[in-house]
Amino acid sequence: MGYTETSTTFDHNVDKILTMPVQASPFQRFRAGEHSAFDQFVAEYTGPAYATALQVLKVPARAEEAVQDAFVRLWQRAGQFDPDRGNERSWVLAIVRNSAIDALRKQGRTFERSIDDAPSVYALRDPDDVWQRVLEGLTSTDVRAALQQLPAEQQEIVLKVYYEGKRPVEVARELGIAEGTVRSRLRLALGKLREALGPVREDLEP
Amino acid sequence: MTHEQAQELLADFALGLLDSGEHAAVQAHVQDCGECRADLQEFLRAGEALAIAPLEAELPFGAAERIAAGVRARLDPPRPQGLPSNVIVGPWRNIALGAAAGVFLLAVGLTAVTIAWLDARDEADRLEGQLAARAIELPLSGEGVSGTVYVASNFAGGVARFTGLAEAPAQHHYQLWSEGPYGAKSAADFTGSNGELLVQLPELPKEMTRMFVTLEPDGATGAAPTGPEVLSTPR
Repeated sequence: MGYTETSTTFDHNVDKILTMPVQASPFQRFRAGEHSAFDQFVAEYTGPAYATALQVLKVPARAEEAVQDAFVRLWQRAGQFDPDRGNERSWVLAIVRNSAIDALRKQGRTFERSIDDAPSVYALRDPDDVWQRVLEGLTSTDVRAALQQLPAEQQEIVLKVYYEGKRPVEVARELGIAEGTVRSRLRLALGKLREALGPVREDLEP
Repeated sequence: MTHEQAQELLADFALGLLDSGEHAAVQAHVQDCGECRADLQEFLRAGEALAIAPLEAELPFGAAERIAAGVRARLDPPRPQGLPSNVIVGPWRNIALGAAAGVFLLAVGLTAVTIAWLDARDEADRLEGQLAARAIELPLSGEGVSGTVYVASNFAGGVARFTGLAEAPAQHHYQLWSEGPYGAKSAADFTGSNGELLVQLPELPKEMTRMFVTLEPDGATGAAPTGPEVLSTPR
């Protein structure tokens, strides 16, 4: 399946997205001090968190353990989430992914540091209300469809680097290509994904 | 780090792939470079989208309950004193001791040995806290049907498991109740199944002395049981 320059823009219903009522999620309620909402938050995210961790760790029992670790981190660090600079679901699952990658690297004895740096990376995210609303309307099916429209060699890099938590140098070795090639394919893939998933900006701006 | 080097690493940085030295160097550069910061936004947005699309994976049987219980056990601080007297009261004492006597004695013994060997009160408290965090197992029985209720020892929640509970007749459902000095209080309602059924339970009253299941007509208020009992824990 090949990527074409003229292909994907998803059919976001812009009016609907911009006027969606905002209800307090269990995570928001927990952040506001309602500790009893944490159980609901755990129940809400256990499924996607497990899927995220399993992709990295492959072993169900280890994925369950990483998910537990992630929820404990989330309990401790929920206050670091800035709703103006990030989407809740993405932030939460990024923490889960990082927790799983930590476990993977500990297992491989190549652990160098905790990559629990989602908060510091997200701190550099500029507020973007339009993208926030786009993310709220995006489904995993939308994202997977966009991934499938990438050239096969870029899909492969995204899968190995992002979803399996491998370092570019490891992927380069595995595929027998230069590390620089892995990085450049990753950059291209991310750029195309962002372009494919975002609505036409001019349509959203007043 | 030069601007060109930072540009090369922006995507990796956005996805958290860099080692600590490179991560810090890119972070420092991006904070002072408008162009890199602008380019980074696109990669961060793509990363946010990727985060919401893991491949579908079915949770193994009981995984959600194990994860929730594991998280709760790790977040609940150990109790500073001995086991609270209101955790196991009245009929619960017999039930809980019967169900978990081995575990209890083993843990108490281990606690005592630990105290003797280490003379460390905090270690004893930690062990007692772990013991207190165990679930209490309560058998449910009825005619041709059985089940078990697992209640967290702090009563923060639980799971009921039924085997052989037929689907409720039309316009009826099952309701699980706790009973105590407060009367009867609904804990969950469900329709049953011909195989095995798991029902997640909310926080339960610490004063409860029994749990039971009734068959209720749809539309019942749920304020009090009105139908026949089909399952009960020992009285």
